[in-house]
Amino acid sequence: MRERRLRAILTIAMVVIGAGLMTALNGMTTGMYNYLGGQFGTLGANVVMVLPGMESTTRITEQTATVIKRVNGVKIAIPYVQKAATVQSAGAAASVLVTGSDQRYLNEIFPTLKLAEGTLVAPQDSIGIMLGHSIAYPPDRNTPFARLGSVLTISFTTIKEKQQVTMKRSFVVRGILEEMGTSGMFLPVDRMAFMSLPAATSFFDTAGDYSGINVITTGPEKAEQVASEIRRLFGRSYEVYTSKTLIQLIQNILGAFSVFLGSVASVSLIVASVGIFAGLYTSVMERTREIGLLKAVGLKKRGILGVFLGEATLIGLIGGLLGDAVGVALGYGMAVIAGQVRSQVTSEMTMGEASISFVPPFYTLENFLFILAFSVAVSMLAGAYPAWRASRLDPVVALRKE
Amino acid sequence: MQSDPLIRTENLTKTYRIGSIDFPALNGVSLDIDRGEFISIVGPSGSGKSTLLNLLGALDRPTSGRVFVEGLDLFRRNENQLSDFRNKRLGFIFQAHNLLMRTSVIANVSLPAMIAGEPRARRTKHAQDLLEKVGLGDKLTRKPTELSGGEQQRVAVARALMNDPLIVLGDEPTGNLDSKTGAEIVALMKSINEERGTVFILVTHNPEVANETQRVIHLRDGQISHVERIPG
Repeated sequence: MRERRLRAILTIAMVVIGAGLMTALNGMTTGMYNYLGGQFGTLGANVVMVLPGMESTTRITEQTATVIKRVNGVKIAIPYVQKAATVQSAGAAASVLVTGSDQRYLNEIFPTLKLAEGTLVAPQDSIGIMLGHSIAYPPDRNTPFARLGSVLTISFTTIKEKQQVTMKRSFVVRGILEEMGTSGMFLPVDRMAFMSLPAATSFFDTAGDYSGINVITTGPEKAEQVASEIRRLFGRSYEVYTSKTLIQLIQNILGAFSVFLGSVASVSLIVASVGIFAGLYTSVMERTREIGLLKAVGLKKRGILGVFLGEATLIGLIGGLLGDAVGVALGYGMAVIAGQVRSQVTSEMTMGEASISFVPPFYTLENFLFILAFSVAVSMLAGAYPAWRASRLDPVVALRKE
Repeated sequence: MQSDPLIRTENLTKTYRIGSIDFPALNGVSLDIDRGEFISIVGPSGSGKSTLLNLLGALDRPTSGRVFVEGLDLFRRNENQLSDFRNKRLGFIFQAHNLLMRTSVIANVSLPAMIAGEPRARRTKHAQDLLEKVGLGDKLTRKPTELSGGEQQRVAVARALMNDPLIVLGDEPTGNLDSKTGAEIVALMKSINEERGTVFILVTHNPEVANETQRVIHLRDGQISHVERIPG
């Protein structure tokens, strides 16, 4: 009797694990999906980003910008230079991502960007610099790193004539941005510094090569059109993104990933079904006498089938419900761990600031119901053969058993 | 007694095939059983007693021959109809393991009525009445494991009567009991037979049990050797 109860509990536990895993993984990927959608949604809707192609060595030059400017629907093309560097002020140093571009259109490209103090750097200003919030006010210090009007040194290391050289130049702080935090963009704006395009070109010695071009179109409805036209003109030389395609790209990858994860998790449920089959089969064997009795007393085949299928269904139902609940908790746990792992990794990549640490999982009723239905279906399928066997037992033979 | 027998068997045979060998368990049994009879079937091991009982109880089909109950050919029915017949017209009492061990006594007794679709309140009341009748009115919610052998057989009797059957079939109903308890059970069955007219057919190897019945059918090698009437 106790053995039977233990077996039932173990069988249900198998379903709980399978359903729980499915729920947790599903919730995590949906959460990530929503989060990234939100993040990339902050890129201006009428902006097209042109970046160097991943497979090609074609550079982005002034000529690229000229061609792009002539495309129908383009309002303005803004080339920029972007490099990692170090900033020094009054003895302290910090790593920073430097972008040089015409800053007059910065708000069209990143609509949520705001100035806290001062002004943007003028297009021809060769010594002006605008700082992201965490550069000017580092979170681990009481005193600011720099203020409006401070003089900073930007330095970066490069190879010139086979020798490692460090270039330095001084800049004056013209403006400081508001803190964007993690609700900002996929760029670590808080840890960036912005200068004019000519200043960056000359300091980083890029000689007419750009890191990318931000294209502002006449309206959001033109963005896709402009993007296709640019793709048509340049083929695979450049990667062209609109905020919409960027979101779609990420979401497609995420979608495929979540299907993969979901399939892996569903395998665990299928494994559970083997357990259910074994458990129910053993149960039928053990209850042969009982089945004979039920038949003697007039229970029809269908009735016996119903008894055992009913047990299988109950296992699926209870296991699925518990699995949904356990999965919610499991998903949160896994998201916390994933976030901590991500912090470790991204803090090295984004120069000290973890832009995403914890992405909360997101659960929908549809997912719960689907996983519940799946658990029940798997359990019923697993129980079908043992139940059928039970219904077909010869009562005379069955009654002989002890 | 009425002119038409309740049960009539015509040349009933049952042959089991084991491997390539045919084993004739029953070799042409013809008998009549009237309403209200309290009879026993006796014989040595292998005489075919249990086989005959299984056939009368529609748990098995004959190789040849027919069984008429209330004038109707029993085995013209399909399996579902036979299940129905067992449920509504028959009661079974086995030597042991009559009951579902994990269910309460009252649920065990109600089982045939539940299968017949009787509503819960009615069948529970009916089961309660029957259990009181067999002297177990105070043990309704107990599990069979908490009862003695004799008590378990009483529950089996109550269950057998649940759907008010024509016939109760007992396969060595006192086989596992001591002689005193066994006699009590036989007395119980006899009183029910006298009160309700339910036919009791008991397979037994115990002559004391056989002597309590009205008619003893002796089987030998799958055939009726003789029929004995018990006076009184």
